[in-house]
Amino acid sequence: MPQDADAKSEERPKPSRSKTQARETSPQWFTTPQPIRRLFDKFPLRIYSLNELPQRSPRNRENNTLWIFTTNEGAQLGAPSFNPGCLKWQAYMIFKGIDFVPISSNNHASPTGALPFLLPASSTKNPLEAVLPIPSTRIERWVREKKVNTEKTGRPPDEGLEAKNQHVEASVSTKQKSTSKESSDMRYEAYMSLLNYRIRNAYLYSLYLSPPNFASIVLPLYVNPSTSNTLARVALSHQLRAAAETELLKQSPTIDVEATYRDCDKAFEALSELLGDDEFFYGEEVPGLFDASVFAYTHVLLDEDLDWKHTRLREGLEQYGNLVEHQKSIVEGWFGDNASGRSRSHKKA
Amino acid sequence: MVLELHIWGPAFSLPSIDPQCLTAIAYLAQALPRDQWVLVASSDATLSPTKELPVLHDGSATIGGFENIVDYLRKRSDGDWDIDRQFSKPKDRADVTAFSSFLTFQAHPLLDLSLYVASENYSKTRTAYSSILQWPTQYFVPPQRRTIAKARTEHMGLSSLDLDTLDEERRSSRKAADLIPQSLRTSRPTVTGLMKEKQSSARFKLDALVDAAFKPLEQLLGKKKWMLSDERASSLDCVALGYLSLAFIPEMPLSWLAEGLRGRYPDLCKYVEDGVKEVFGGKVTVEDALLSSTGEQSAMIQGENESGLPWRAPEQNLSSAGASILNSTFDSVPFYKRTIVTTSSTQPQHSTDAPPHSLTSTLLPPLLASAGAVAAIASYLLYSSLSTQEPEKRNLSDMGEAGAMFAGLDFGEPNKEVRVPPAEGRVPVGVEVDIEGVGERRGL
Repeated sequence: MPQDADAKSEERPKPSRSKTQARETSPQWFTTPQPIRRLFDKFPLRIYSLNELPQRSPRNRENNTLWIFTTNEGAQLGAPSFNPGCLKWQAYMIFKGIDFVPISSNNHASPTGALPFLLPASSTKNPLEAVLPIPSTRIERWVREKKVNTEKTGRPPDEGLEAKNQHVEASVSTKQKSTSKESSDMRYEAYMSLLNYRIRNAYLYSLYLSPPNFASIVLPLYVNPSTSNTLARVALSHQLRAAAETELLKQSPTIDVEATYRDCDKAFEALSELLGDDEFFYGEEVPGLFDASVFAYTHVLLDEDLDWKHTRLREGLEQYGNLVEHQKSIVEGWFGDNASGRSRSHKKA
Repeated sequence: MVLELHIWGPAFSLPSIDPQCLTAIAYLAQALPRDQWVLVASSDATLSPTKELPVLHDGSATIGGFENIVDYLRKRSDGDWDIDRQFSKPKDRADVTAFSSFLTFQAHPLLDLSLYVASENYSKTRTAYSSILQWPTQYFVPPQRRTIAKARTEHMGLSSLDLDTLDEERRSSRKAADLIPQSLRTSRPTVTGLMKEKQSSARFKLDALVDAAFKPLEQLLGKKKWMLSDERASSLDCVALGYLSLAFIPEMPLSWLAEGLRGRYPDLCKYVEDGVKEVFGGKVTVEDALLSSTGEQSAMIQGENESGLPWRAPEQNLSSAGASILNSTFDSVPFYKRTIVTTSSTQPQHSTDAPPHSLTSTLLPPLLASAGAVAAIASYLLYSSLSTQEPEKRNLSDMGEAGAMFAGLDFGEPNKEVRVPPAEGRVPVGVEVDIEGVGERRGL
């Protein structure tokens, strides 16, 4: 029958030259004239083999990838990022024992316009399904949901849609439980504001607006890897400085340098007081998000590899021995010797 | 030498319209003996080296900004005028630092939204300003401060409180509506309808913001009289009074902020009411602060009797008005760089800022006053032409109302996200954007 023949021919991957009758189905009174059909049956004349994926296409689809500011060698070694925003999440994911591959990148590559972002591993069942990047603000939730899911079903979250409903329920119900005592403390938000405003302001000023540091840190780490064109470099550095400046001017009509540094010192003092003699903040056994946030700044300020020319912030920080200890113990304990940095052996890289 | 504290003038029955000034007043009222300082409602930001009020004049020294003033007073008096010295426990001091910064950065955007960004409320704020500013400046200062407030709260995606944006949206939706045939058109939404819709969706987010800002404070306060102890106030209490009183006391058409406080944080409300009575000496009227410049002596006496604060009437001079107009003109001229980096003098007695300041106020003013008038017109034209363009930009940036709204529900989480522009959203990011990226985001 004509209909059957038609159905079969459609299933074939390549159009064949065999004469099938009457391909047009619905209006029976209209059929394609034979000569035209013969002509079109010849196409495609030739099918080329599939192209290779481009060089820069994502490689580590089977792994979670965290895109951060880091050098290429740093990415291979799993070394801490030199950007506090990236380092915070890098450290947090290491603390939580998530497997991931750091990838050196810059803000232009991010869908949100800012690093870091996370590209979860694509599911093993259908590897071609697109995974959505997760911006830094959602990483915490993602980690939490992943944890809940692995605990509950014993499988990674992206396997099987049937787990999805359970998983949503579970994430809601365990939200309070899994956030532990760290974030339930009323001081959590207050001390977090010290990091997010006081220390960050001083850091922004000291890094971007103080010319010696800009030349010794920003140029080699942020600007030069992005482009080799001198004009673009000039423009980029100008943009960076302007961005830092607007950010600071949002909070007051002028940038009061003395006050910024003084506030930052006071913030370190308060944080040091909060930490006390504990190993980690809020007396936790293992470091959490707050530790990651503090470490992000303290490590960048104390890192020997970063060439701070104007060292006022570092000197201010070095007065608080327990903060320095805290930074040291995290570097040694969690970023230790191997690429993934997840072993707790106390060896230096 | 009597210290002079210059502030933005009184409004809403509070001694000042600005939270930082209220904070400074509260601090001085408790730290200094009454005869050692006077309060001047000069409402002129050009007096300050940091271009913001409050500013403290001590002979030749000029100190701008609350934190700087506290620092200066401590050094000048060898700690006698430091009201935090009673808290000898380092833990308490750490709490003062942390919660002060928390309040400053969490509550300030809320006040910005409530007093400046929300159009209905802004008209009331503007009226309050016009009674404390002298003649020409009242046309420049409120819009200027509103622009700053808008910039500061832009990232929260709550510009729907601003009717100008709404109007812009309506205009663009009308354009689209013209393409739809008559028979298929739905009735055009009215302004009030749209406003209600927008405001109710904004309400979720606002409530989340209010909770994020005040919950930790209420927990810290507990049942104590002051934040840290029952006996004495700390500088944290000054900051808390400054921000909370301005959130709680003004009666605004859109009263989500005061309502939120009243409904969910009764302890904080009681704290504010008591604090205002005790520290500011009850209600303050504009007349208390701005008595005719001729009767300075009587003003002082009267001020002392009626309110608890040592008011002194500000000097009326056209030159400072001229200077402030000129300043605001410069601010709106493209390519003109403001003094970006100032190092405030925190050392008592030798101020590096004094010479340039006195230069501006003594030499230039006669010129400035006349030049100011001309420049003012130019700046106004420029300002209005610029401001018509702005809303469109905002519309684009806060697309995805629903996404932003739901993201707003999450403010219970560490809220570094509150600060930053919702990344020019191609991904459903909502408002939760990490802080750290920002500096780099703009640039890179």
